[in-house]
Amino acid sequence: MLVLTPDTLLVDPCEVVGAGDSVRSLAKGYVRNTSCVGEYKLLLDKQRKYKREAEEVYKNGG
Amino acid sequence: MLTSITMRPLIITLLFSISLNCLFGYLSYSFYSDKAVAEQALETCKGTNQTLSNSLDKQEKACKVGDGIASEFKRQEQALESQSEAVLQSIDTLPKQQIEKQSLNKTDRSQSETVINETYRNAPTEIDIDSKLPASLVGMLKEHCSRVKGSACTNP
Repeated sequence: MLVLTPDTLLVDPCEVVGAGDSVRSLAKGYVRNTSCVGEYKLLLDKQRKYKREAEEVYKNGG
Repeated sequence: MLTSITMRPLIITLLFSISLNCLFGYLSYSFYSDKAVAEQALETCKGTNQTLSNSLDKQEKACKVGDGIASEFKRQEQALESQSEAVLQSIDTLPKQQIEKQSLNKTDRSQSETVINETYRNAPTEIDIDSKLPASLVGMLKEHCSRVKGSACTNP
């Protein structure tokens, strides 16, 4: 059984940003990058959830 | 003689009738087998149609599941972004901090000159949140960012 992930769950949610050259920009970069990691993790969780539920649909007919 | 004359048409009619019966029998058998083949093909088509219909139903259900999960992801992603925006705004409002040099009062003079100079030299004169990072550190962080992203990094 082949379950394909929908395109809506195959988008890059964010991009990494640099540290800049001041403590303030470093802190802001850290916040943006860690939240980006969180968004990617969230995306992976949703992809896993879709795979699980789609397999359920095709196995049992929903 | 008379019977042979009257019998001939009867025999011919009989033979004609028999041949007609044979023809209709053959045609009936032929149509019957064609009908059986057509019925078999129809049953196969019905089965295929049912399978395709079930497959389409499952595809539609899977699509709905995908749409639901995508909306859920968008909602939670926006919540994450709002939280990080709030933190970023808090960082923007942080003031620069300054710690004045420790003033040397007369009681400190009781310590040796070496200790006083050491304390004075090591005391932080200023903590500025907008102060520049060391160049070596900036280079390291930029290199790390390029390694992760694979292209030029942008400043926040």
